[in-house]
Amino acid sequence: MNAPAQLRPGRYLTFHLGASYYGVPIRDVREVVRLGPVTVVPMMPAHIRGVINLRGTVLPVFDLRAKFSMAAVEYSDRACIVVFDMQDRPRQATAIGTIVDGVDDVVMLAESQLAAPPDFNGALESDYLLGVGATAERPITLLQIRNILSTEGSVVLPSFNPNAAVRGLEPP
Amino acid sequence: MTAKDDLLEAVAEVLARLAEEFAFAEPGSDAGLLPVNALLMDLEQLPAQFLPASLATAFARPRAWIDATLDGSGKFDAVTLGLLHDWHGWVIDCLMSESTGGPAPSLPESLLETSPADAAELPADAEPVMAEAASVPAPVPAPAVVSAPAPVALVEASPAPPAATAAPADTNIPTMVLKLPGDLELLREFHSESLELLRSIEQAVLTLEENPGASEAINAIFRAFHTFKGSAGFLQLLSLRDFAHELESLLEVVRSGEAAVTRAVIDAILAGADVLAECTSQVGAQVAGHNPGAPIPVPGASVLALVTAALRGEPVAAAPAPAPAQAAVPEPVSVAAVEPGEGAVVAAPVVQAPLPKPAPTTSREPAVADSFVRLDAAKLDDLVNLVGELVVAQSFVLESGEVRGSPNLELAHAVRKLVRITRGLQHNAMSLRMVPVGGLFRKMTRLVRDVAGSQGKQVRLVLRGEDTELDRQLVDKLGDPLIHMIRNAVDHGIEPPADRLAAGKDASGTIELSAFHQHGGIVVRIADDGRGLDPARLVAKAIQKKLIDPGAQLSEQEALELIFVPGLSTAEAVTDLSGRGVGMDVVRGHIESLRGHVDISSRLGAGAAFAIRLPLTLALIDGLLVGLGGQRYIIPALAVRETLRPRPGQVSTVHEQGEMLEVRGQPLPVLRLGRALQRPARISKADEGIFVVLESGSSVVALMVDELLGKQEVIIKNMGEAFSTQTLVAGGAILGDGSVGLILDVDALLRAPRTPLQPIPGPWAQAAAS
Repeated sequence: MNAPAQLRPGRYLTFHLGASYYGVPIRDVREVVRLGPVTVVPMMPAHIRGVINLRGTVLPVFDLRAKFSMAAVEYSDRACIVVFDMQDRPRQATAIGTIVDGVDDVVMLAESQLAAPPDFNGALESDYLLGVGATAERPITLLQIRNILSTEGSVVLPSFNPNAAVRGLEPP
Repeated sequence: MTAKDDLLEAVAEVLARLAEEFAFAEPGSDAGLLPVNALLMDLEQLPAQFLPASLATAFARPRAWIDATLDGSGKFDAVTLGLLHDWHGWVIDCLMSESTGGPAPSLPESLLETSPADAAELPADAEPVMAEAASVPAPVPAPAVVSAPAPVALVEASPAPPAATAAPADTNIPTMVLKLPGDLELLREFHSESLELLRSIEQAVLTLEENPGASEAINAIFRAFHTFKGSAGFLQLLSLRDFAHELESLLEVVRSGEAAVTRAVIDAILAGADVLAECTSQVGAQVAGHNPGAPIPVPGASVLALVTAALRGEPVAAAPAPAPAQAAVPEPVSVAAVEPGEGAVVAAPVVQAPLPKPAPTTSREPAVADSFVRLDAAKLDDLVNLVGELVVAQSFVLESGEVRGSPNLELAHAVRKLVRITRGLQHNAMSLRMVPVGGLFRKMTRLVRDVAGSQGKQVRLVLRGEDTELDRQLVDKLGDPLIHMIRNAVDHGIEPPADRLAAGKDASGTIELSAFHQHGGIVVRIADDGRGLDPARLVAKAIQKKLIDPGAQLSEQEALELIFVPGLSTAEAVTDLSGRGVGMDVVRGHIESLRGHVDISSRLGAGAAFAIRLPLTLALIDGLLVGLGGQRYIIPALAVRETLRPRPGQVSTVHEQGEMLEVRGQPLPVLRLGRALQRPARISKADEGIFVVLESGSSVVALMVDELLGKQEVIIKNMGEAFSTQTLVAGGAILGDGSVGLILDVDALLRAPRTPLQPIPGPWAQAAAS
């Protein structure tokens, strides 16, 4: 598990799964590619979908819906694969692609738009969250995506109401 | 291994490749026709005097059918294919009976009848089998490939009459005829390339004369002969090719260090080069327009006799350079005599430094030393990767329907040239990354001394085959497991001197570390003459650790394999055991991550041996592309023995053993790929599937797939940690359409349960929906 990342102002990539909206620090994102055919790797857990060819390298592709134990859907043509760097040093970086329903935006979040996650009494789940952010449209849950992706099996995000959590933050 | 065994192995390999081609061949299509033709020519050109008569005649049989097809429609027809299939099965039977010593099978009826294709003439009966033409393996002229008016590419003028009795010696000199003007350009290239090669041979010989230990020079000569062989073969200059081949194989003995470089050997090399030079200059003359078309003699036999004689001479004693240091090296005379036959070892029985090493003061070979370049390893890797991509890209082009089906001869010519250059480039690039294992091996000397010293043991490390080359990446990664295993051998294998003396052994133990080529891969073997592993104690330990059922019935081999079971082989578990236990499961995992395999053998009281089998390189593999339920998988061709469509009834279900496929009387267990991978298959009836017979070590399985899609060289791409639990998949590869194909791990498949354990789940999406 990576060292706990800091909740810092900066640019975030936002995406959604169904009606849930998420954000990840843009520095964790290597690129976003359209969801094409994925070569299924047999006998893997549901959240590990398979592999694709990313410009000559074989990239593992995870299914974030399955990772969060959400119901599977027929992905539309808005669906994307967000490619995350799993390590800080890019030269040795291993990347993982993650299918999401759709990528929304890259937003700039200032200090005043960020809040730490609610205190879950140190429960393990809080390792998966960076905090919450308030964008112009809606509150988003900011993820510690590396911790989520490097955890085996499915991940249960702590349940909280992002709307309540951003109360008091000023939307831009 | 004897020449005959080598030959039979070569035959088996060609037959396996023919089987692959036949699997794709269909009536009305020319798919596979040219490869089949080429493979059949390979068979015909094998030195007939070493072949059993039944095979020699058998090989010539399809010639008429293929020629008729090539001269006729250019496509396979059903009758010819039927004949070829029957012929192929029959030849395989012949081969089997040859190796088992059984009676030769009789000719199938279908082959007795004269087919329309061979109404003209069956060359088989007319084929001159050169009976004891010479004691020296002289290149045998292939049967004159003449079919009616069509000008055959290159006719090997064979002076031997059908009843080759007492032909005068000089008419036995093989000749070759150039195909002018068709191959003019290629021959011109061949000529200039050959001049280069001859120069490099000369250079290397000079180096060798000054310093007989210059292994680089021996390798250079060897490579030059090898390249000669390849180019001559490509141009169908068969006599020349065979001669170069013989030179090469004789020199292999020198290269591997079995024979020393003596004055006589050097003279013989020069004599061989002279023959090549003479042929080359005649080729040059004909290309320049002098006397084109005249047969060029290849007077190789006397030279080969010279080489053989030189090699037979007392090898080490005759070495010109005095080597005082050698006295210290134990002379493994008895070992050197071991023929690497069944289960035995090695091609290169040599103790450390087969040739006297240049003393520090000796002049270093200037020509060689000057030509080294220091180079960033990353750049080298990039180059090798790019060349790999090039080879793959080329195969996409070659496999495209437009190129394959094109009647354009110029295109075909250009493609052949491209293929040749790419092959050369690939070979070269790969060789850049190949390093001898000697460096790694020598590190072990120190390790053995230290560990043995600290335990009061006397251990001698014998190195063999240090010149064997391996991908640098593999050498790097082999270090840890090797250290582990060597340490274990000293720690647990070799007994203290007193125990050894009591057991009637020499007080000092021997660990032998060797490397050699086998089946297109490489084997690194660690053998000690210590106490060996005790299967009974391993079993007892495993039962005590609750790793196996107390009532389990294990064969001795299975008991030995327990050492690889995690949990058994922890240090404290077996310090008192006779075995070597420290993390052998880790060692095996490490080796398997290199796409290798560890085998163990042991005799209680006499010693244990571990054989690590590795691919030559991690970069590229020859793959067989198969389809299953719409997805494509790649099977490493090294492990594929043959592929076949079953006849009705060839697959049977044996009670409680699952399905069996009968191949030439041998029942093979069937493994359905769909079941192994728990993926849906398109074909459920065994009779309709395609079977790929996989072989690794002693296990064989018939893998059932939906379809065969082709052969392809692929670059293995690591799939990342996410799939580390997926043992059946060894990696991924980018296929021609840009999608990813999964490379199957044959060893893991062979270990997979063969009976269906659970119902096959639906497509993944449904599983995910739950």
